[in-house]
Amino acid sequence: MTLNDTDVRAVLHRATDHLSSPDGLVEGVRRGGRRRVARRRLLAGGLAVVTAASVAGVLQFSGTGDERIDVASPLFDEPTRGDLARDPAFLREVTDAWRGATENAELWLRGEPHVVWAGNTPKGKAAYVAQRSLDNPVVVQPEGERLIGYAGFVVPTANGLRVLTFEQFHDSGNLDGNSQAVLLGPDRDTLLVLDFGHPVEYSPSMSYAPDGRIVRQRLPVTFRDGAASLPVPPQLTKVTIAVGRAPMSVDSRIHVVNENEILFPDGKERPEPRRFDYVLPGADRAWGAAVAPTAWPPGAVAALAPFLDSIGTHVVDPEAPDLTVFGATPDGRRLLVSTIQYDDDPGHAVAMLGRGESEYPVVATQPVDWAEPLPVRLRLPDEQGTLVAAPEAKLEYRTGASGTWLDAGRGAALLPAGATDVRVTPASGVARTVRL
Amino acid sequence: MRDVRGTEFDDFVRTRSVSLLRVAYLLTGDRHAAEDLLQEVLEQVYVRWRRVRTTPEAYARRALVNRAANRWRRRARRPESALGDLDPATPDATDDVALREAVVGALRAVPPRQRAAVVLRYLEDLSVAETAAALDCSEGAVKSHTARGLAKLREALAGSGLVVTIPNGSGSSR
Repeated sequence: MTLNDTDVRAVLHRATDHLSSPDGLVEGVRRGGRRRVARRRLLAGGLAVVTAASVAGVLQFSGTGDERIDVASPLFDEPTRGDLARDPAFLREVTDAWRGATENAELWLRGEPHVVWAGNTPKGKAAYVAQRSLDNPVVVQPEGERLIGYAGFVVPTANGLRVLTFEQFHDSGNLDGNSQAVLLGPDRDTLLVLDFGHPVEYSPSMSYAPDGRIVRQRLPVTFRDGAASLPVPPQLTKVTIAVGRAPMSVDSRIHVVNENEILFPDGKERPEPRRFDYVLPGADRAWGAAVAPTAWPPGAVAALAPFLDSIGTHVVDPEAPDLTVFGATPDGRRLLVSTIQYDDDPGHAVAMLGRGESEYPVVATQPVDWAEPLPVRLRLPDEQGTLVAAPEAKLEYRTGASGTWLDAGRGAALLPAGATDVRVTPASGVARTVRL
Repeated sequence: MRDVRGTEFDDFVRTRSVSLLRVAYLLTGDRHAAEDLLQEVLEQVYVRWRRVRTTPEAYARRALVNRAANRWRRRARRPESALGDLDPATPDATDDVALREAVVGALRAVPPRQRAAVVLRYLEDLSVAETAAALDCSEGAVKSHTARGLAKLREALAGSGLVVTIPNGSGSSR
């Protein structure tokens, strides 16, 4: 006995007969849809988070929800800056490009676009434009703020002026979250930075010290009439520059509006690298219940900081594993090993030893070549052994050429100081012997 | 600025939302999740209206299926709610509430693709070809998903004792 098709139809309908359209669905969908349109434009330009605000006070505020407010802002109210501020033909060209782009993007705007800055650059004439939004809904992020308008760079291209991305700005009082800079030219080798009223630093490129520490030169940006054009190395396949409010730090970074076009060409996100977290046998002797914590000890975070480019923007090579090893040394110290890798640069492995939370000196580093059979080989000081790692591979070691091979587990191991050879058997592949 | 969607979009939402909500409900097994899902999908339709205005319902169905599958996957990583928590009974005919719970419970035991195939074929009365378009798979896969999903659903519902069972004599092969 079973249900026939008619019965199945009947029970599915009966099971859903109680449903009715939610109240206010059309209005809710329209409201949400408009937010998505705006967010989509923002994300299309590649910004992870866009927050912004005017820098002047609220002149008038009425009601809640999506009603209008009028907020004074230099982005709307101050005279156009830049050496083309008195060039009506170019300003008209800019506003025409802006109107065409906003129409196409279906942004809901009011009033006239205001050219905040217009000037010559080594790559041609460029501008920055702002316009009030039609209404002022409370936005999700930053929480409780209201949208007051959209702004964007208008840049020269081979096909004429192009509006790069529309960014929202809000009513809370600063423009820190907005893009303040853009890379210009077919090679993206000119960095245009707008003067938002704060001292700015930039770094044209990044390199590595022999031990893997990040090396960056920090140069002051000198603004002239509202902006600065800076020569930088071509930014075609990766972003080497960094720019931020002085002193430049992870918290003062300035967004470069089109850097995601470089990092994620065609809007495609790259896959994340495979993450390997290994907790070595006996690690709990040193780490206790804190072994493999989601938050590292503050001392370890501080020790690793010089190896991280906190002010730059990078992607990671999905083929390069992201490795972390927690262990304990024979003398009872906590061992923490991490690999760091940016773009298609060589990666580095860093080993730290410490006790408790505060002091985790870096005791060994090495460049990592993941194509090698044993990519990580870090000899620890004070005869504490050698940390070896090859993700997912079976590891064995011996002491002396005639010694017996001893099992060292899979993926990562802390070998005795006297170990001389490691036999690495990948998950798929043949065993290779590596001399330590 | 003029809204390019005009009243056409509003009419689509008003006339088709209940039908889509039914699909969303059977895909998610939860009224609130279904309403959220419907709102998300309709917002997606709003954004892409110019491209999908000739076939908005087909686009919405496909989006519902994809998003429901993603929700199901996310939810699968969390402890499951008791069935009774999914859709609290409203003052309703007792039999209907029991049947609804039985159907939702039975569908939860059916893998997402099979569930979607059964819902689109038997609730929405879509053809095999239309269902294949919604699931982005071949017609053969739709037949397979439907047959396997239906078998699981029949088994679960027959065991519930809530529906009248008769010998299976009919088939559907549109």
